[in-house]
Parts: sequence; C-alpha cells; structure tokens
Amino acid sequence: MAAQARSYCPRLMRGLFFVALLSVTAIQAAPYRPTSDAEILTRLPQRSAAPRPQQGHALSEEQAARLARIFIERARSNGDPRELGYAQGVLAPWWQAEEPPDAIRLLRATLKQSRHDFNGALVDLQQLLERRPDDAQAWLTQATVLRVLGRYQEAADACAALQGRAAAFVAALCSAAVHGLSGGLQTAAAQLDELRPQLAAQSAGVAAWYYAERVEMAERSGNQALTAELYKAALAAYPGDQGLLASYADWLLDRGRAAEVLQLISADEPADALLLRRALALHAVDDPQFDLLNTRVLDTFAAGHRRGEALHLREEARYRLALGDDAEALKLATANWAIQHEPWDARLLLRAAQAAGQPAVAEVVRQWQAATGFEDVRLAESAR
Amino acid sequence: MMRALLLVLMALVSGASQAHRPSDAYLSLELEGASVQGHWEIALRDLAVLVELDADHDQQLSWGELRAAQPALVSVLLSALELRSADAPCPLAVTDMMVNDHSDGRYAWFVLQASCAQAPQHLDVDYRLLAGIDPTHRGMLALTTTGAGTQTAVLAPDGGPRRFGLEAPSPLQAVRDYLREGVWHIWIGYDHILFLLALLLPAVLRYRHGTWEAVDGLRPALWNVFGVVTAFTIAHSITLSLAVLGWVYLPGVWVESAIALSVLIAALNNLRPLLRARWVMALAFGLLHGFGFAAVLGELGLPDGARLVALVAFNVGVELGQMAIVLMAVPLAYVVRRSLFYRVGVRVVGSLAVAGLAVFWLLQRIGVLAA
Repeated sequence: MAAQARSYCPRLMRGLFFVALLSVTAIQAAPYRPTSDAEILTRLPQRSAAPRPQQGHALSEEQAARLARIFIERARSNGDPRELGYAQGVLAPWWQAEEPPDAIRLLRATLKQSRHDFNGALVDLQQLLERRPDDAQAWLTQATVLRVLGRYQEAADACAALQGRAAAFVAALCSAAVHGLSGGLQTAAAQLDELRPQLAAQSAGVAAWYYAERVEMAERSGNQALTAELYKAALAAYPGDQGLLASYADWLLDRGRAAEVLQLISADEPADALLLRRALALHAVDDPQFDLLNTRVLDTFAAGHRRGEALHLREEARYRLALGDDAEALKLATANWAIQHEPWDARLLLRAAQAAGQPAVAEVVRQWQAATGFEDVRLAESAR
Repeated sequence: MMRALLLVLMALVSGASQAHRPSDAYLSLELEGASVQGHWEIALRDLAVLVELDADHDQQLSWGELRAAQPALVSVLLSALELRSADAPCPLAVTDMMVNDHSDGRYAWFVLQASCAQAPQHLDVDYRLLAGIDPTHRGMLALTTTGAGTQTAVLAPDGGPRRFGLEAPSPLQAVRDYLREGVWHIWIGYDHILFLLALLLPAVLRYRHGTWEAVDGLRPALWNVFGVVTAFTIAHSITLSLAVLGWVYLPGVWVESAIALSVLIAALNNLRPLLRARWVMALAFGLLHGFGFAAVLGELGLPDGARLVALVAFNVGVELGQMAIVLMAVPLAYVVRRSLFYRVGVRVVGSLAVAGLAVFWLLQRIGVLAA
C-alpha cells in the first residue's frame, strides 16, 4: 500500500509513506551483522528426543507412519504447524497415491483435516472405512470432520459406529457431544455429567476433550457459575492445554474480564492463537503494549494471506470485529462460514453482521440453526 | 489404541491450535540486463532442519555457530534454487550472510548473485528449499525487472520450475498506462491544480483603475485562459522532458519548495496584481512544475524500448487532465463572474485560502513544519 502510494504521488504521499515505512521497519528491519560470535540468535526447538524431519523416500511404510504420528502429536502439544509439514514430508511418497496403505491414509486424512481440506479428508476416511469398518480412529476422525462442517446427522452416525469398536467412554462422549449440538443440549449435558465419575480413568487427551465439550455446553446454556467451575477444574488438571486456555480467555473477554486474560497469557507466550487473545485483552484495557502486539498479530494474518491460505479466517474475523473493523470482519466471517460451521463460526457471523449493520447476511446462520436445532444463548444475545 | 485416539483431538481444537506460523521464506530477485542481484531470507528454525547448526547441542544458536555452518548452508541453498534462462543455467552464488528480524522470529539473510548468458526474455525459477521435508513450506518471490516492474509469486518446493516472463510491456500498452498515469497525477497533485486555478481565477475579470471588474464577453476570457494554459503546458513539457531524459537535474526539495512558492505568488497576484500578463507567470513557474512531474515519472520509471513514447504519453495525459479541470472551472467562473460572490468571495477569500495553504506547504517542504 505504501509502495503503491509512493509511486502514485510522491509529493502528496511522502509524509504518509514515511509513517508507513516506520511501521514496517518496526517488524522488518534491515539485515544486520551481529557484532560478536557469542551473540545468541535464537533458541532452537529440542530435537534430541525427536526424529529429524526428513524425506520419506528412504523409509518403509511403518517407519513413515510412525514418524508422521510423532510429528502430529508434537504439533498437537506445541501448536506448531511446521510439525504438520514434517509429517506430510515423511508421507510424501504416498501423498498423491490412489491406494496408499491404510495406516498412511488415516494420517493423510488427519493432515488434510488440519489444513481445512475437509472434503479431501472425508474422501480418504470413506475409502478407508469401506476397507476397514472396524477402524475406530477413522470413525472418530470422520465424526470430528463432519461436526466441523455442521453435518450433525452424519456425525451422529459415525459416533454410533464407535459403539463396541472404541472404549465405551469415548463412544458415549462422541455421541453426546454431537447430540448437544443438534437439539439436545440439556440431555447431552446430563449424559456428560453421568460420565464424569469415570473421568479419572481416562487418558489425559480424552479427559481434556471431555472438559472442552462439557464447558462449551455450559457456556451455550448460559450457566456462568458452572462454566467458571469447569474451567477451574479443567485448567487445574491440564494447565498447559492450549485449546482450554484459548476458550477460557475467550469467555473472560466476553465477560469483560480482560485483566485476568493478561494474567493467564503472558507476554512471552509463543503461541500466536493465545497472543491474539492477549492482544484483545490489552486493547480492552487500553494498554500501550497493545500497539506492538497488534503489529505482530496483523503481520501473522498478512503472512497467511500471502500464502493464499484460509486457515486463520475465524481468528482474523474475530480480531477485526473486536477492533471495530466491522466491514472487513463481516467479509472474513462470511468466508469462514463457507468453510466451517462450529459454534464460534455461527456466533462470529451473527455478531459481525450485526456490527456492520447488515443483519440479513447472517440469515444463513438462523436457517442453519433452525435446520439443526443448534442451541446457544449467546446467539440470541448477538442477534439483539 | 488410546495413543492413536489422541490424534482426533487436534481437530477438536483446530481453531485454537493455529498457533505459530507455517514456514515461509522470502526470495527477492532483481534483474538488470543479464545480471541478477537478490537476497533470500530463511528462518533460522528452517535452516536448523537442513543443516546441523547447534554444534554444542545447547539448543541455543549463536552467530558463531551460524557462521561456522555457512559453507554447509550455502551448498544446501545452491542445490535448492536454480535459475535458468533460454535453457541455459544462470549460475548462482551466495556472496554474504547476515541476519534479519521478523515478527515470527529471526531469519538468515543470504545475498545472492547470478548472471545469465544474455539478458533473459523469461526466467525459470526452480525452487526446492525443504523439498520433501516440509511440503507446506513456501517461498515468497518478488522478481523485479528494470522497466517491467515487480511480479510476485508463491513458490512451493515440490511445484517444479516456474517460468516468469520479463518482457517490457508493448508500446501500445505503455502509451495507455502512461497516459492514465499523467491524467491521474495532475488530478491528485493539488499544488499543480491550485497553481493553475489561481492563474485562471481572474481570467474572467480585468483589473482597471485599481479594481477588478467582470469582462464583457467570452472572447477576452478565452484569450486569457488560452494564454495561461498554453504557456504552462509549453513550459512544463520542456523541463519534464529535460529532467526525465537526464539532461537537467534539480534537487527534489528545492523543486517542491519552489512549487509551493509559485502557488503563493500566483494567489497573492490575484489580490493586487504585480504582473498583469499572467501567461508570463505560467511560463516561468511552469518550468518548475515540469520538474515536479519529472519526479513522479522518475519514480514510475520509463519502460525499456518505449521511453520516448511513454514520456510523450505521460505528458499528453497531464495535458488532458489539466484540460478537464479547465473545462470544468472556466465556464462556471464565466457564468458567475459578475456576482459579488465571485469577485470578493472567490477571488479574495479563495486566493487567501490558497495562499495560506501554499505557505503551509512551503514551511513543510523547507522543513520548518513536520510533514
């Protein structure tokens, strides 16, 4: 923009350009030569315990699948998309294959899902399940993808297929979660409460998943006291869980408790998704630190746009909405709704349409809500 | 089974887990004739995947460790980027390494040099950084050619060579582009417009016995306009050409300040005319404004092979844009020339306002006021 302005009218724009240049140099300074060999440039992620990212050509199917699983698991725990790239790297020899081995097809579907290639993931899962109808992981992944797409009937079928194929707790959690999204919020919440005594026997990942589902139901019911209690319990058990931290921060921001978000997410937090929430909290309390963090957040969005990716549409729409850029927020929220239909996406489109003074744009959400029976007290609040 | 089940949870938190950024590198190439200059910025994290950088395994990367790894890095880079033109390679060299800070971490900055056998008509870029290792890596290419501008592309490491055309635009295209630029620049160049309007404002009046009165007919008004516009056009065309062709040069800040001064003088002249023949002023100061246009054109650059055509097209565009302003302003002024509103409101108050703005510009341009 600045460069364009410059070429169009130097006299008029010089001042403006200079200001723009300053803001760019704040993040992209000129290259420099460190003065001392001892100067530390960066920390490197620990790799000693992990396999080195590598090309998949020399690997057997089993080796490649094992490495891909490790990289995916690391991506899950540290939120770093490069790990997903490394997983795709070791699977590269089979990435385009029509008939990859089953284990690799499942991993491929997981990676496609993480890149928001939901239809590609569903095709792989469908073919895998035709060959191996007893593959519980494939059913669960399929249920997840269908949920993100708002296709609750099919998701319920996939969860039902888990009965007898996966642990009873997981099958029940899957079914109740989908039921809770499609017209059965209160019964589903009751079902989850019945499961709660078994929680202690579950693995950490499954238990964190349980909390995520239960707390969201409490939020959608408008039960603030229960929500607060569940977040407290969940974060006490899984203090580093990024998904929980992010949704807790969202809940606090919605309640105007920005100061607590600043306590929850420190300035040196490496994860962009959490930093975005910190930026919103700084904005809410009018803290001067906001400007610097805002530059970084916007730079992250810009990098996504440069790549031509739509992975950050939800986050960007939500960010721009909070900062009052209503028209842009509505554009992004609309594009995001075309890709995914989770509770956040519905709320976002409603709020953005309301803020931009174009409530009719969110008519698709109300139709979808009527068709699915989706319940969320916050939707009614947003529409007001 | 349970371990495998964990995988699904990624999807459940997909919204929140888009933390950090995927791997991007920035490749910038500038072509001038047969030689290529450029730089390539790669995240240190990505380099650590390609080459063992952390020699002492303390998970800290020092500048010394990076420098020690430079030869290994250079050989990796040279095997990851190939430039070809007309089916002949343009041999590439990495001549220097620095570091640069991005909002998502520190990057190494490699200085590149390459030379093709002859000035290429097109360039094939085969980008393979992290090929097979991280297929989600992307190289953000900015390819600049003198005269043909900058083109950008997103390069995937497994995408195979990409071909970029480097030919300058056709003369016809150049004429169209520069004509449009010319029109655009006079419209957004407020100081040129105000100078012209200040000179044209009294064209429908005449100064007699110490007062301004309306001219009787259209003829004297049109002569006034014709004289001013023609003189301004001839003058700025001369200096625009001289400056763009590189025969005369004036420092930009002088030109800008003098242009502001010319607006001030033209406006004050409407209050109490020191110079009745305004075409003389148009001619004299028009020479200055030509340098102003030249600065604009200098930043746009002239396309190779169509320099003269583009220069003429730009100039014609300026005249067309200027003519449109004259055609809008003069008939209006002619119609209302007898009114008190025009003779006092527009001439006096308008000229004072223009003068005030000109003073503001002048102070800004000589650096007294912050821009």
